Amino acid sequence: MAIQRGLINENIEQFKVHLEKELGANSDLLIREFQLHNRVDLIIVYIDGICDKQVIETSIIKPILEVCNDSFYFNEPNRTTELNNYLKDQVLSASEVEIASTWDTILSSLVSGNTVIFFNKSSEVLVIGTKSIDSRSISEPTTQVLVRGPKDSFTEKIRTNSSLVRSRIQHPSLRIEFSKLGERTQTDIAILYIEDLVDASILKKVKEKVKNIKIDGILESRYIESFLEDETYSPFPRTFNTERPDVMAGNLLEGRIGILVNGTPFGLICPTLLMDHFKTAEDYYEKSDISSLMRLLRIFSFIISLLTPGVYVALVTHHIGMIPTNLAVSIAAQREGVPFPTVVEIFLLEVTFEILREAGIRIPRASGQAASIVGALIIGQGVVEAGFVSSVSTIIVALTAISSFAVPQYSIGATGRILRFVFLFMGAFIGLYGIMLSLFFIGFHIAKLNSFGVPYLLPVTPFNTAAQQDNFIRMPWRQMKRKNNKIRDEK
Amino acid sequence: MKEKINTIQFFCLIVLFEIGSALLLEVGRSAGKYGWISLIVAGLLGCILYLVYTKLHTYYPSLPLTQYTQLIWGKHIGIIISFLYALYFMYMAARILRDFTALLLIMAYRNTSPVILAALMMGVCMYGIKQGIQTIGRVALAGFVLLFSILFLIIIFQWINGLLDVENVRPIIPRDWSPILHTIFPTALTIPFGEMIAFSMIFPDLDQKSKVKKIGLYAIIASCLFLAFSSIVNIMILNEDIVESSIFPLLSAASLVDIAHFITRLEALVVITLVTLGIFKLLVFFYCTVIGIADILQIKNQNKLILPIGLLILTLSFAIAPNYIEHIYIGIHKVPYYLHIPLQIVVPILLLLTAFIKNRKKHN
Repeated sequence: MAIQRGLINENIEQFKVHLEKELGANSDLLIREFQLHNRVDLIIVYIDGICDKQVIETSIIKPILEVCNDSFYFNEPNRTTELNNYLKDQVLSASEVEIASTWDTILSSLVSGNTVIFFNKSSEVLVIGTKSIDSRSISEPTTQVLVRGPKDSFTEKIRTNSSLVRSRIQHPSLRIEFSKLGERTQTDIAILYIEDLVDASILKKVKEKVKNIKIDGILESRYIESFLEDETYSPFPRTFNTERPDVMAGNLLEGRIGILVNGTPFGLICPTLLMDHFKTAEDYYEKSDISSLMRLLRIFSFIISLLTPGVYVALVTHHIGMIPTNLAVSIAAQREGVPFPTVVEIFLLEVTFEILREAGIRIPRASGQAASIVGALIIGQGVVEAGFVSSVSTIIVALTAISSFAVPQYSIGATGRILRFVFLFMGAFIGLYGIMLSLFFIGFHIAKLNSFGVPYLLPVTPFNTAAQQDNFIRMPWRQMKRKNNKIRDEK
Repeated sequence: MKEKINTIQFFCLIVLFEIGSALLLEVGRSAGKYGWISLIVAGLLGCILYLVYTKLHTYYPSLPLTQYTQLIWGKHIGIIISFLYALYFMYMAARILRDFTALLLIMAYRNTSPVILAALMMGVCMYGIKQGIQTIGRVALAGFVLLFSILFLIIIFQWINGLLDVENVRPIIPRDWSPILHTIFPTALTIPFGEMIAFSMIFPDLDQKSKVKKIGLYAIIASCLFLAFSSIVNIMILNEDIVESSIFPLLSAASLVDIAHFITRLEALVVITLVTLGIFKLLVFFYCTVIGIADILQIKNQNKLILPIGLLILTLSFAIAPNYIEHIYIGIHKVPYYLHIPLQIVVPILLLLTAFIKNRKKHN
């Protein structure tokens, strides 16, 4: 049976039936009925758990009960419109009160936590803003940890998150635009930017892309992320996620655009370029010399984690003559008796390491000990002692692993994990030549990529002199011209 | 909108292209220890040749070579000339591919099939062309930095190692000029400096048209100086007899480095330079072939041509000569006279003269 979702014009009983039809016989739908003798009856409807009962009691029920006995409007059953206006303008002390007249608005405001007041045979209802969802309090960030720097992080609640950013940028030019996405989940999302710093064409692109998202549900910011990236497939992440409000604020100051999604503590930042993945918030909170060196170290460790297994296999399999003699002899001695070719050996160890890493994340805390014993002792030591793999290979894989953890962003680390295997196989297949060719292939790939029209490799190639103050190294704050750092649509 | 490359990228692309095969094959070596003189003189002559190409470009700033030949010499002769140029670029791409696969085979892949080596490089180049000239320009900048840091590193190591022997380059004033003149013309002038004719196809892709001349000249002079420098270094290390007889002097010079038995066997670094240089040289000729043929056949979507032309170049690189010796022989004794001199020097000058006269008429 098709439910008509037009205007309401029912008595209380019909209204209740209609509600149950629309929302199901819900146990969390609460209907508070008031039988006022000789006066206009009314019901108050809300969904338990997502609204603030305190507000309902003190700013809705109490004021109504106070006025209903002696107010003139309550005696006139045919003048409910005036009654609604009277309550809205003079009685209810809640801060958000609106008048609605269609079933669509009633239902959507009910499920989002608002309270609805309906008078018998009225054609309109009062909608009072009583949204309140329990959420955890602001805590320390868990994935992006710093030694020095603010210790607050985003929570699952979008209002808290936007307030954390606003408290950092107390300037009228900060814009926070809310909208709803997701056909079923109706998730709140917010686009944050600083009006006079942002590049208008990038902002337009972001807004357009967000507007065109067609999806049933959004439970995490990644859902949106994949719509924001261009159509071309790439293992390289073109948005940046952060759970730190200070990082979000810093990026807004560089003219980027932030996106917050209700229900997840990870906000998105776009456009994001390759070099941004090697920057951490701490780079800006520590002295410039050490942060520059650390940044170089991070880039270096990313390259190591990407290339080491491949180059090792290439050298041992194809160019044993290119290894310095003493080293070659020592490698050959260790490999004596190892039953697998180098590439199989490294591949098995790499896969084992990936398994260990994945298991380490999913394992219940109580059995974590067992995993580390298996990982360290049995796989690490036992395998070498049994002569299945050489100890050089374990060292290579361990070096790769530890370097991959030095890369601050998880998403670019994941890129490295995928590409490492490409280099491994190309190295095994055709040696250094294969590795060079793969590098060029990836080079041609990322040089074409762009994030909202900004070339992905921007300050490096195409080269931008002004941006070098905060690229491979970071200049001291006194010498930094923040304006130069603004991100621009290059096309 | 058409993709453009900026001046820095243009500079890097020219330098990579110029020093490409010249560095690896050591173009000046037939002049013995005076290779550097012939390279510098050839570079200066190359600048004059480049001025011819840019002058032609100023008459038709938005058109590539294959299009303005048709405007200058008329539809019929022009299209034949354009077609010849497209074939020439294709043949050169095939030659480059052959050179580099042969060097790779000699260096490190004696047991590998040359078809695989060539096909892999071709595959990467096809992808590069598909990504467009702007991407090639961006990667050229990165490749330029990579290449020069590695070459610099190699030279530093050679110097620390005490391999550089100044006695080998003395006397500086040559007694007999004839081998030097022979090296300058036609060898060193045509490869690499005359090959700049390929950039006549790329000039329209530059974002600042007014700088074509300046940037190009800088790049030619920079690469000619670097080639001369590299030639002197190789002579210093190896002395002229070995340089003349070695197939690959850069590799021979690099492999001598031995610092404390730890920094040794720098061949790995040479592989990196080899691949970098090979890719860009091949890319430029490949790209010119693709846009040239797309122009002649009036094909809007160049991407359709990449695969067939790529495969054609790949096949051609094996078909042009039965073995490497003959390939080199053709390269030294046939190609300069039958291809380079007519297409790099004679035709452009005639084109320029015609264009000049035509323009004169128009003004009158």
